[in-house]
Amino acid sequence: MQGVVGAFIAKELSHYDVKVLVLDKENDFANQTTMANSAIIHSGYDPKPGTLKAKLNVQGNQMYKDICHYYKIPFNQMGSLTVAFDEAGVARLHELKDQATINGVEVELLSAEEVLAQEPAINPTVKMALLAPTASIVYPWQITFALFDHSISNGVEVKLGQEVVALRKAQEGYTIETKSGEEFQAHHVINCAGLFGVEIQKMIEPTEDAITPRKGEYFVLTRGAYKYVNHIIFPLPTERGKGVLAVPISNREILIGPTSEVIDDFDDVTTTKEGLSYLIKEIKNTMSTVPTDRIIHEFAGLRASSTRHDFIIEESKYNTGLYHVIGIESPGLASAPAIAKYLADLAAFEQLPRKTNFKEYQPTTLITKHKQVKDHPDYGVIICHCEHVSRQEIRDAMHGNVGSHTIKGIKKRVRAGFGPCQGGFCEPTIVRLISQEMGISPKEVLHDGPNSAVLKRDSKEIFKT
Amino acid sequence: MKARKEYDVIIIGGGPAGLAAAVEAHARGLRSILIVERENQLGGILLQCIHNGFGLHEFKEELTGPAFAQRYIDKVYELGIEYLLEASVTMLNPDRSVMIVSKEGFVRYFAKAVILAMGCQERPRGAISIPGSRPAGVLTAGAAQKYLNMDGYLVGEKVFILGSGDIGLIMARRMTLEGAKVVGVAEIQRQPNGITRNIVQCLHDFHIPLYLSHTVTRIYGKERIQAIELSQVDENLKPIEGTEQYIEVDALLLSIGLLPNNSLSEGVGIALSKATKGPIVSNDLQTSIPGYFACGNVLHVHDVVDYVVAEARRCVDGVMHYLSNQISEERHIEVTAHTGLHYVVPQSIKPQTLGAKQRFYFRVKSPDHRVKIQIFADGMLIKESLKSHVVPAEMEYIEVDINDAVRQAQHITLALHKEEA
Repeated sequence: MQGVVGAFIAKELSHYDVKVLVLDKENDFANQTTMANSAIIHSGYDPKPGTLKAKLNVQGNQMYKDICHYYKIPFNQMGSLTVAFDEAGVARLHELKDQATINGVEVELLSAEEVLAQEPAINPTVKMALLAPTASIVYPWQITFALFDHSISNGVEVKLGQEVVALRKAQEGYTIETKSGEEFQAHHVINCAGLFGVEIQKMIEPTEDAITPRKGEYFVLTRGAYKYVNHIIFPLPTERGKGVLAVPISNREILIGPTSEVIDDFDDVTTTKEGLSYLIKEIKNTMSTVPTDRIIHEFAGLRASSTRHDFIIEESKYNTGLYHVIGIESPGLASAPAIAKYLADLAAFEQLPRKTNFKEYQPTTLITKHKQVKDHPDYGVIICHCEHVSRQEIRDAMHGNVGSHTIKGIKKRVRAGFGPCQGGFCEPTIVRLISQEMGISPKEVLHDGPNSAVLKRDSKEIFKT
Repeated sequence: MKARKEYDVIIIGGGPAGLAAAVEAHARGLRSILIVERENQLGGILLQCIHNGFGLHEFKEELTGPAFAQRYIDKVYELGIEYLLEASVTMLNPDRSVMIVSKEGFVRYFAKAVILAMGCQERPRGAISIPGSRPAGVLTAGAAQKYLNMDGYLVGEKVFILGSGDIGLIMARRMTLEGAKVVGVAEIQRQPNGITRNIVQCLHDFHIPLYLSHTVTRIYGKERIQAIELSQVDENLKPIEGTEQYIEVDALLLSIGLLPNNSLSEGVGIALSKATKGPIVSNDLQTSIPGYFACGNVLHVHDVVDYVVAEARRCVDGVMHYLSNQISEERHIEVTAHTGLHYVVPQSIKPQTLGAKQRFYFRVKSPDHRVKIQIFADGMLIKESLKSHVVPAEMEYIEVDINDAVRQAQHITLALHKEEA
């Protein structure tokens, strides 16, 4: 479990005097569903009242502000607008308002004039919008890094690049075997494997649940699209999901997406011609213009939709001490802190002995931009010019509890390569920096996974004898 | 308290445009000049362009990129012009103060005039939305060039190049010379996008196929790129179904166009042209914010560095006029590109600063033979020039004698006129 839900659970457990091991097949934190999603802390009016989703979404939303404050992570409470363009839509917004009241979420209906005054780029045929002021934006991987960093400082052990291939009942507790051939023993197992949750479950017990990956494709508009939208903009939700959104993920970038397509390949994060043209077609229904000349990036992510259409957080019916956290689709990010609390109650974490020496958060890596250039001159040498990332920040990203020495890992940590040139200028410099700092050949520097070396061979190599 | 850092002219960028502007400013008598360069050496992108063909106009000889740059770097040293290395401008202000971050920390520098010479950048994959996976081995031709020519590494051994921009063409030859197999170069347009010399010397001479009216429609490979899908496109540039070819490669280089680097200019509110993506300038190369001037690839993308340095010198003309306060509020004559032309630079002229002649630089929209470039002042034809062959990849100019008709005009327009057979 390397994602945001796993991070909150690990952090919960780090308060207790127990040995905790986190295993994941990915070689970086926040590398799957947490990596590629809409970055939204949903307000919680949307899930069906009475579901676990509804309850945990609303609770999670209320928890984020303090969490981000504690971890010094930007938390942008910009609010969301769900917009309707016809009478049927207006009626639906009234229903959603009632649903919000049941779920305990503050909302407000805005007239077309009020909407257009705040969001001039919205299609002027808008009739009404539902404002949910508590909807917010957070970078999911930032929160994941901070939580794992904190957990590791409090004794949680993490082994990445360890794919679980077997889960067996042992004399006492469980044996977990990984692809590398290592075996681990545990009294309790929390199965929080995202898309692969049911697969892990099936290693040890039968289940009627199934995960269907739902692919979401997105594109990113770069700076200059600034002020294109000021709120998270939702069309009216449908059976297929929340529709194609416009999300100001930072002051300068806007995310447009996602598509929502059920697929059968758990590894398929490819973008498609159909997906991208669908996004443009759909967003044009909501917005009067789309600055497509500002597109700098597209990506796709997978959501772990379960056949129960609700979060599955429960102890195994067959195996005591085995807990499943499965089917955490949208609003999984918003619900993540509440999911961890819910699991903590369910599994009675409180009965575990508390650590007496629990350490408050002190980042071991991941640098703030306010470091003193005076003391560390390399904080003043900019390597990624688009995002103003310094040489020392890139070095810092390689170290600490959650350090990484891949190109993508560094991009996630300090935004190097995030801007308009997408690493065209800085990537060779970063490869050189990683090679120097880690004492490896530039040819060993990876883009992301194990076989993703950036460089192929030395020039002139084939002429050498 | 620290002394206020103040210069007559601050030049942002230590590439050919910035260096040539600095040398020219010195020649014109300025002594308070500062060049700000973000890399750890002067020279800019030219330093990674180790092929020859630079300097034919400027020095009447064929130099490599580093050799060309060195001539200007030597002059900067010789003249004792000040420069900062590993120094990045983070913000421009309307009062011509410039925030610079370096090992010294964040320092605000003041200038009477600022020359923007930040060059350009390559469009990334996202700009053209190629579907498929996002593996290692897909990168801009410029990044591949830096890896090869500066660091000594090849990014692939079986390479495909998308886009026939000059850097892509040069890299086709470079990688071939280093023993890689360049499987082909695809160009979505019906005609190449690089200059003719490079098509001949980098592709034809090495028997590298050029697929015109083709584009890459999918990228395959999980960790590292394994293959591409190449498709033919119709006249609307849409891929034609059934024409897909699957080509195994271990690298895809993108040479799909250059964009002037104007994040900083945008930040201070300098008006940018939709066509060039560079600042809108008057004939003195001054931008919409007084005291800010632009030259080189940040103004509009040039195909030859010799034109960049020539433009930098013209830019200093404008700076000198401005510093000697010869220009007060005055009338601008609007200059616009019409039929057949993609853009024209400058976008306006100021009658009081005009010399005896004025050049207008332009690019055509599509290739053509036997065309006339015509200039009108308020609709009256004042000059026309016959061109036997024009292509969008090659920047052209037309020079006009300045007479009263020009001075008193409201609008100057340029248009391409097809010569009847």
